[in-house]
Amino acid sequence: MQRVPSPCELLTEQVAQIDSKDMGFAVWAQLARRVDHWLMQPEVVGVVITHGTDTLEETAWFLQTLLNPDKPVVLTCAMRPATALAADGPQNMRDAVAVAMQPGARGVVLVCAGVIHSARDVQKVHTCRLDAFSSGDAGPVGYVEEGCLRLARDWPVAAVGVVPPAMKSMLSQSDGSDWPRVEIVMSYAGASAAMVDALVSGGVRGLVAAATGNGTLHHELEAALLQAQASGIEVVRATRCVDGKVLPKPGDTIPDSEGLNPVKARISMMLRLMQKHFVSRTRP
Amino acid sequence: MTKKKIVILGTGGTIAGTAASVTDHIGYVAARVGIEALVAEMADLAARDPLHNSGEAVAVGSGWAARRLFAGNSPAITKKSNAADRPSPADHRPQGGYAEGP
Repeated sequence: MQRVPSPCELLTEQVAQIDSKDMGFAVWAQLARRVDHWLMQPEVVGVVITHGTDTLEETAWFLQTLLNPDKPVVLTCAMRPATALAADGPQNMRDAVAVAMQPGARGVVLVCAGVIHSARDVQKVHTCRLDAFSSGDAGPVGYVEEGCLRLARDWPVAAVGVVPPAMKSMLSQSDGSDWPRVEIVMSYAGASAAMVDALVSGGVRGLVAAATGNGTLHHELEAALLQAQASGIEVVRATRCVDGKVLPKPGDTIPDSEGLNPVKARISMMLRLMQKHFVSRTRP
Repeated sequence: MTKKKIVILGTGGTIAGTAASVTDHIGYVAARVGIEALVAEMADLAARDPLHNSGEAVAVGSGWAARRLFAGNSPAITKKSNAADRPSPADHRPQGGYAEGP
């Protein structure tokens, strides 16, 4: 713990020390537990999390869906290492603190290159440029300019009651090893049933299809997914397109991901499956 | 009155990564610098920022900021290291003053 004088007192805590490509459920559970703990302290106005960029949108959506915080939880990052001639991390972190201090700020957001993104909309879209994230069609929540915020829209508010508090507590006490296995299968030219069949025989609980265009699937992959669905495995369709969402139409047999990209649709499905399990286990 | 607090949680990533050369943006090892050192650098900058200056004495950071400035101006450090003299990942951590992660 370190205390640095500023308009707000800054406290630090090392929750993990990993390359975010290696992010896993154990760290997510620990992170959720620590974020939840700090947000419950009345004197804490917000939490900032430094995180790798590779899985940042996944952690952001996990925390938003699980915690739906009414204080700001601000993830920040860097595209260049701390030793770089013009490292971007220090400015990103200062911008993140400015967002965390902003009265009225709420929800899980990401701050990178002076842009504030919501957990729901943000996606990494570039391999190396400093402004590596996009909020797609929705656009950013706002901008941080010289330490001041310019908002483009309201702070994100998640659907109420996404995860019951008792389950939140149970989940954050877990080491993640018992979380349901949900995998992503992509549709592409020449796609077949092979991936789905292998996953089903391996005991997968849910499947997210990274579909082409407006949620379309190669007919062989679609047949395998429908068979999996009929056997009780949960299936949704997300799009592999960077922008846009799958628009539902009458007669759809596999539900769409309601605008979530494949990796976020997977997180929502995992939490949904855990919630089903939790409800069935705790029912009197 | 209790002072308001912001908690900064470190999880690693490129923001805490170090490379052997200041010009190397991709050949780095992520998650080397502790969150205390990253925040200490920000405190150093806050001292001359009117928006964030509380008027209180500002703690001197770990030396990270000063070292980074030095590194940026030093021809000896800006030289591109070749594979032969590139330090092992364990040597990428800058000398002294950094909190280690768990």
